[in-house]
Amino acid sequence: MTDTRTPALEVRDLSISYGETTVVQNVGFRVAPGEIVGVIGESGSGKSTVAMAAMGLLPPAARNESGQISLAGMPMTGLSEKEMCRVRGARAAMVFQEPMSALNPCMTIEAQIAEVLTIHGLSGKAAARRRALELLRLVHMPDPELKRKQFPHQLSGGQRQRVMMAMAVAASPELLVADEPTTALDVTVQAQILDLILELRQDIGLGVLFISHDLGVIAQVCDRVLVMYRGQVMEEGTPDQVLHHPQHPYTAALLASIPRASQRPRTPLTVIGGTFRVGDRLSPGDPAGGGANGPAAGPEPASAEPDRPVLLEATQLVKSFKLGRRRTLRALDDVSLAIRQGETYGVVGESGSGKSTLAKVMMLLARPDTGTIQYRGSRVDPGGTRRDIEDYRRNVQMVFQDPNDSLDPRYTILRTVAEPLRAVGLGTEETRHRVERSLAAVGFDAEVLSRYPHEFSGGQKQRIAIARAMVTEPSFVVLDEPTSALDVSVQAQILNLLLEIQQRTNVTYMFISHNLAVVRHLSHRMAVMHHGAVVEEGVAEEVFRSPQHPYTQRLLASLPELERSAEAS
Amino acid sequence: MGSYLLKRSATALLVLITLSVLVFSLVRWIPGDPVASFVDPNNPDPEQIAAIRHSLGLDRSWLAQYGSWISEAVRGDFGHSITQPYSVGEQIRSRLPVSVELGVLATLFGVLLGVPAGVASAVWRGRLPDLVFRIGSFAFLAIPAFVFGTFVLLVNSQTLRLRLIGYVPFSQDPLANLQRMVVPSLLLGLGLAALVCRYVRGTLLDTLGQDYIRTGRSKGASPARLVIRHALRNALIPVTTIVGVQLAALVGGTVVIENVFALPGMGNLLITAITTTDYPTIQASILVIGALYVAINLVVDLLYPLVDPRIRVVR
Amino acid sequence: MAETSAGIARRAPRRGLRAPSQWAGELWIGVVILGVVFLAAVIVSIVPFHDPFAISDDAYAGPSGSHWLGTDNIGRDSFTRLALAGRTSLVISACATAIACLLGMLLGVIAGYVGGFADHLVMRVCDVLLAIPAILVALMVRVIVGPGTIPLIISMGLIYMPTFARVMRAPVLALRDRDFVVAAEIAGTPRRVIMFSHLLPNALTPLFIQAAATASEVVLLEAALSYLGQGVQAPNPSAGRMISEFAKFMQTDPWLVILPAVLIVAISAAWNLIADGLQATLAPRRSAPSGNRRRRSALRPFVGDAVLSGAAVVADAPALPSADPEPQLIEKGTGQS
Repeated sequence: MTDTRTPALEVRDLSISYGETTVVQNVGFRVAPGEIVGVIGESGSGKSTVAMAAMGLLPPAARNESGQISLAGMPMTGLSEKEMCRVRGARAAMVFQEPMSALNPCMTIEAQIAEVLTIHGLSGKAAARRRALELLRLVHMPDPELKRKQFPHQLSGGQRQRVMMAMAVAASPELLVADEPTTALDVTVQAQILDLILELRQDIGLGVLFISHDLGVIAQVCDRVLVMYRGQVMEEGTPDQVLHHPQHPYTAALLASIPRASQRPRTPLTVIGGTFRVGDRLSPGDPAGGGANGPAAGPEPASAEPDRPVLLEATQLVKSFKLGRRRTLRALDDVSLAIRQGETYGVVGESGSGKSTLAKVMMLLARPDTGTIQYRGSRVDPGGTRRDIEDYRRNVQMVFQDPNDSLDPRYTILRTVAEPLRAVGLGTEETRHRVERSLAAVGFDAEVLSRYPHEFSGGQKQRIAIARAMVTEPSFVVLDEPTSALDVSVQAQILNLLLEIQQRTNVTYMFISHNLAVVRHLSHRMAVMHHGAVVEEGVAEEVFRSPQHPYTQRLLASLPELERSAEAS
Repeated sequence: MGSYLLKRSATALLVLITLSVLVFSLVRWIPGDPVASFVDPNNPDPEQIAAIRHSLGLDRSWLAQYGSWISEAVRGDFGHSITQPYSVGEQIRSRLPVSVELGVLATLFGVLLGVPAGVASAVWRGRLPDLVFRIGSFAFLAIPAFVFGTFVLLVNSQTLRLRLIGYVPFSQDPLANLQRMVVPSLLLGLGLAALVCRYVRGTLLDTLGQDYIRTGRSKGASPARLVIRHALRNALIPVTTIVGVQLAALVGGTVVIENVFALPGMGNLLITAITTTDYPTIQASILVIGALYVAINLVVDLLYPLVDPRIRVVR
Repeated sequence: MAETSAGIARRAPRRGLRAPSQWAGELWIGVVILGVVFLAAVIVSIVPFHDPFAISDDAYAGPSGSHWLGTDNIGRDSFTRLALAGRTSLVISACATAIACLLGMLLGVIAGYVGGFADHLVMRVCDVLLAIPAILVALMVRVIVGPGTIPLIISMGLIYMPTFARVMRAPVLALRDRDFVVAAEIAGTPRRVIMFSHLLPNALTPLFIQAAATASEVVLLEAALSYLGQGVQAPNPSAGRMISEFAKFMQTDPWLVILPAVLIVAISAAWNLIADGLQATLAPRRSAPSGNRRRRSALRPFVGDAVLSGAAVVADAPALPSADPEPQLIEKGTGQS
């Protein structure tokens, strides 16, 4: 890419370290005006450190070992904090991941936007407030006249991110640094914010540095992509080059670890292994290679045979919550579904769709207002007999989203995994034996029994949580976003593990996720939830291939999919 | 917001009712006959006992007694002292202003000294001002006001020889009044200031680590602006609640400090009454001091929505 | 993919009080001060060099081999009386705090975990009790029961109980919705076991800190009450009453007032130091400038997964500073209603 204009951002040979650890090493790239450059990488890749360095917002402990950063031709390295204050907001602006906490809860929207202008002396107070309204219109804030007088807690997540965008472009900066700006948002909202970024780039000629872990998002918005791994840039190029014809083994492995539509469902994903260096080349015939060319797609032989017996049947479940005095929320609105033995039943929905409430009701953690749940033909909802309910409770387990949250920090691994066995009432020896067997199934030695959760990584903790769920050999397990808190490479391991356990034990899963690709990969059949109701249900492949309900169509359309960009190119 | 005000006022009322019931039952819970201590044990005079019982209202049903007691109390009529020749209501009317002045001045000192000290401590964290204010607040937390007061009086008597003891009404001589009141209220206020300083330091440091401060930095806001415009207000929200709770300790402190500086306030009255087992006065003083605290606390809580917009604007 | 100890990132030390070498400095100082007071109290209790109540002609004596800290206005040995006053103060603060702590802890756990009406009731009662100045409650109990050490302990236990209930309830409320508690419920663990095995141990840190801070307040309140003549009664020695009794000799014999004042301040400061030290040792949030707390959240996933994939280990690298916002790929927006 040759561009004769002064780049909005130019980074040359940047190295940053914390004490002895080098977190960014010899990174260099340019962002031209009007160009969107994506930086992709897993946690610890140093991508956010690069973003913070570009804004001069590195924490004091970070040491700039070498390199130059220049903003629109102006060198930024060596500027004092006071000089940086004049640059930040005026010439380079930033949007963060968490719209919930990134706005001051005690200031009105208008005041927070207008502040950017008054700080930099660009306009008086009254003019700044008028401009704030214009900016809210620019970012398509619904009802801007009303919203500008409100406080952040009165806005939805997507609206807050719009406010962040309005603040960012207020002073017409040359560069926008967007650090995972849509990660905390629902897919449909994400699509709107991405459109907004594309639109602003067009209108203002903004150079954008876009940090993300989501390959689909990067493929959709970026002109150029950098792949980072352990603080170094492994590969750089257009999204088409990088995501469809990767040259570097790490990029190839990263791509292979993501479930895609072109891959046959319920087949193992490639797990990233080995170390990668700058300059490694993909050798032909590399097993991890091929990027989009996963195992060949084909008809799934055992795809949800209708003759499997029904294990669990929910009929007309209704659950509402009181919000204040008059308003009630129907979290579950007449939900009926049947889950067959040995299958994975996917449940997809955005935040607030009621999918977690469904999980709670199915786990008997919450009582439905009306409706029944039948397990092997007997009622196990609060209207069932005590014996049936007890029997059901012994046969269901759950795996949660955040493994940091689902293991008691003061319990050893032995106590943690053994907890569900308490109700079974085994002896000490037998309990220990069962725990060891369950841990072995997820890949741990007996040596870990006396350790505590904080000694393990996120992926390891999730495997321990799976061991706990499987220790009683349950017939039904609810998986509530089990990979959402994990990096894609770890996600691949967990998905492979779940598939392997299902093949071995014929356990039934209810898999809840907002991640459509993962649901598609794992599920035999699935349901789409929206506002507490199931709007579409069917064989997973068919739902994805030809969605019937308008909401499902919209949901699938807002999904930034690697495949789609491939088709377009 | 309306519901918040209503809720807070209802809680305050509930506290007052509970306190009044406790105070009312006080005399009834005392083991033995409360009247026994007022009569000659060797030669009890039934008529005198009956008279005292009647004056204490002990010859009626509890509910009736409480009803008439509280309705009179609300009107400021607490009956007559048993041991002293005065009406309790009058005593309170003359002594209450002293305690109110002491409490209000001490609160002002506490907040006006504590908040800036806490801010300075957080902003210059780990440096000299932080060290000074942290040691200072630690010391004032551990040294009780009466100990401090005793030593102030000792040092004063050896050196400046200012008139610190006693009381001059504000209406009589405002300057002399303030001269007498400033030292006791400052001593009381220092304890509160120490707490406020610690809390402000902690919450401000927490607040400065929040995401929206990072957003502020990315806008180009100067460090001073970040602290004053963005952090301080958010940091003061939890402090307001703590000040409210700590006022209880401060009101308790007035009881002690009035006795050190011989101020004729409510605390002084209460301790004298306890020593002379003057039940009507004990009841009245506890009720009035408690009500004073509830009132100050309510005022602080009602200021809360001014600081936190999330309470003001209900979604 | 069997995993051995080599595959686990690091055996990090567990935070706790088991290793005194990790104690914060404040904790040490506080414990030493209380230890000295306790030791003095034990010595004069076991080996009575002087009768603390014996009046002698040797009044206002200065320090000597026989009377280490001199004698008071009626010739009683000051050291013995101060040591006994320290004992009283320690006993009252420890006992009252223990009572308040145990009752409050129980109420707090139950209110927080059971919720609903029980929670509402407990919290309203606590609100009301907290809204009455402590000294008034103490004086009311004194009026009813009479002055003395036992009424003091009981009244202060009552006064500070609601604080503990609140301090306990807040973390229990937060813990109640944590997934590991939900997992325990799914596992069929009885509620009683969840309360005392999952919730309580994870909520103890703020309770310990509050206990030390409360003990300091109890010391000050006892001193104030005794100063007013409503606490520990003569002839039992009490630092607060010594100050009020000897104030009139202040001009001529200032040590009679200074020593008990120092005693009160020392015990109260020691408890406060222990509170601060516990805060620094058990919950190293603000006190650890190196940002240890973030080590796990920021660096962990990287380290663990790197190890998992068999790559070079950077496990022993120093902590990432606290402000590094390398995000974990958590989809926060997916939380349900």
